[in-house]
Amino acid sequence: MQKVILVGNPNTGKTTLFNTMTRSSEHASNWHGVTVDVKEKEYKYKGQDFALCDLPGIYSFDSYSEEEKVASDFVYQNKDEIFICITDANNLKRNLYLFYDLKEISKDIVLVVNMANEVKNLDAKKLSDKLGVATVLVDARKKKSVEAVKEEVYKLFNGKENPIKQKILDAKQNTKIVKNFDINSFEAKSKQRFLSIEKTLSECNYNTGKLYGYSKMDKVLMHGFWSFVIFAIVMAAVFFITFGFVGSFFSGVIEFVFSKFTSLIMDFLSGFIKSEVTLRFIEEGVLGGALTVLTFMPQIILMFMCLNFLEDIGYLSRVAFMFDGLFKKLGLTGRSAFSLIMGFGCTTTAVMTTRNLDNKSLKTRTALLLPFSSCSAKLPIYAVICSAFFEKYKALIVFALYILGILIMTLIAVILKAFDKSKKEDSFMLEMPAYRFPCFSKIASGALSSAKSFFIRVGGVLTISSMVVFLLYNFSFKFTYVEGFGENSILSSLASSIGVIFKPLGFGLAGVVVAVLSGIVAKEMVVSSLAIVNGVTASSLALSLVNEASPAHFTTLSAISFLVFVLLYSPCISAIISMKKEVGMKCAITSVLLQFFVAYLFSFIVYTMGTFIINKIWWAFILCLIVVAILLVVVIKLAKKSKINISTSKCLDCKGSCHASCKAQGSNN
Amino acid sequence: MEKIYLSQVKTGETVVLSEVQVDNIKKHKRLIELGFVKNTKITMLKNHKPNGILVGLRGYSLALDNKLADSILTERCQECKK
Repeated sequence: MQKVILVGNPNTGKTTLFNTMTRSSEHASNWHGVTVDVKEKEYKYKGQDFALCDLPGIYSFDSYSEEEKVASDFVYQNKDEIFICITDANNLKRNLYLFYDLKEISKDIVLVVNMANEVKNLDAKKLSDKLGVATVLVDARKKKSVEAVKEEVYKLFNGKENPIKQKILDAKQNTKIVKNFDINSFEAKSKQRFLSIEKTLSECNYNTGKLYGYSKMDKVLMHGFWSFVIFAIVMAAVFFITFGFVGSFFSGVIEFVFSKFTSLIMDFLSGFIKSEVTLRFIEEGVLGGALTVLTFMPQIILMFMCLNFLEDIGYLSRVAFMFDGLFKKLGLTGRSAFSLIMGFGCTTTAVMTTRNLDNKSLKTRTALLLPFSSCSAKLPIYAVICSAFFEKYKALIVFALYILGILIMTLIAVILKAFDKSKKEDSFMLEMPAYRFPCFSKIASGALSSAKSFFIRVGGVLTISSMVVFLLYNFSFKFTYVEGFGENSILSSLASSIGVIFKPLGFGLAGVVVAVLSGIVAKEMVVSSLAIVNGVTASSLALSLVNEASPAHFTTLSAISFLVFVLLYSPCISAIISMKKEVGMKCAITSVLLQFFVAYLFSFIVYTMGTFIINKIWWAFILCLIVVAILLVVVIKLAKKSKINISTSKCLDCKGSCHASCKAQGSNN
Repeated sequence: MEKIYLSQVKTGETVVLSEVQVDNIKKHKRLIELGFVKNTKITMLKNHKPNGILVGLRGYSLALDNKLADSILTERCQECKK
């Protein structure tokens, strides 16, 4: 099968074109670094099979970051294949630089100018003649002229006499740039290349019809103060949409439909199966596990839709820029913001995006922070506990948990920075994408695709795990069925001995411990495990958690403590594996231990202080507050001690008045 | 011509690139690939001191942190004002 490789700068629309050509729905967005691995999918054109490969965006074929290495290595290994070099019509002056690089490697290239509808003028025929390759103007978002791209690829594949192809000089052999190269000659060569691009484009009557600039929207969204206020409002809106009226309505509908569906199936099966144990196993272990995920799908879809919307309009890049200063103080950079925001979706994927960061220490610290954010898998747990105890303030409590996660992440970042010996800083260079009108079909299909992969990834594991938990919770070590609430079951016996550890946190019950332990496999398991332990389905779980007669129940205070623990404790197995792959085993183990410690500490603080408030032991409460305050002061002092001394010896004529760094230097002198 | 670092350029001002003084060769190379070659016109779209700068060059906008902005030497030019 003929391979066709999509190459281009970040954020030029590679994945959108990939999706359109192969009719798939990979996540594509209006910011860089969304694709971190090579994706391959087949398509058929005129009876011929092609395998289209989508690569992470790159600026040149000399790797700068891990994701670029993935792309450049792939290009060199497949330099005899057909390439589609995709460019953004608004940004041709820079995007064509990569095309020239590619031309030194291969001659089989189709140049695609994406978003061509957004520029005022461009003579594609002339551009094609000048560059010596077939050039197609497309609008991948609206699926315009995509067939023409397939046609040009087909022509190259067939090796038909192509007048354009004849003009191309023979491709050079592998031109991977040697590490110790002369930067001055490289600059001279690049300057010539940029001049040549400008000349070519002016001959092709290239006119974008607009000037880049600092728009009115930017004045607000990138304002020193208002940008942070707006960000807080936007995030609050996302949570209120997800967990407020809209999310709750759809969840309620699905819950109703599936509880009816479960009853129907069980009624049908009870006609054939007489064993109560088997019927319980099917209802709680098999159907319960599978349907638990489904009940929370509306909220997960809504969450992905909101994030996709913010990405698509170009807002998240502005957020990264505005947070760079703040992140630098925490030893991170604005580029870490990408990974941290992705962490709200899935920790596993977010850990993979740390490849964007070229500084090893920064990469490790960002990866260690990621599991502290509330990934979508934790949403079902929040939803159930909040429905049981805080129905009226559900959205507010979930929002508070997210904020708590961010605050603790900040605290951990400060501590990690204090203990970081490398003191290296990653540079922040980020191309600011243009604001775009959201493409709702793309947002919806992206969200559905993410939700689908979430369901496939989690659904299978959850069903199998539910069955295992059911068996372990309902059978003893002698493999006999345990009547009642499984007090003498395998899992209860194990959980009872561990339960003592969780007693100071307010949830030492064996049933809750079972749920906590199963959450290490996958966070979604917590809800299904609680349902199995209480012998109920997902729809009636919330009620059973309030009931003191249930094996797994909470008080309002222990529910808060449990929520804090769930927010902060160990990432799931897939996230740990992803972490091991990206930053090593040591970091993965550190992450698990660190999270257990932090979760235990904060849960303990919450429960202890809450107990003092309930029992009105004010002196103890104040004492606790003082201890926490002292701990915070120690952390802040540690952070101040570790402050990086930036020295600048390049102050020309400001004499210490222009830069903070110069001032510092001046005062030192 | 008066030479100033990019971090000192005021919002709205256009300057010409004189020299990139980044020690790290990879970062230097990346800046060149992004279009930072001698005599390139750079417009300061937003000089946002706590976070960095937002500049316009070769038809696109790019955000840089303060440290990088402190490493790019530019020249003020009369022609740019026009």
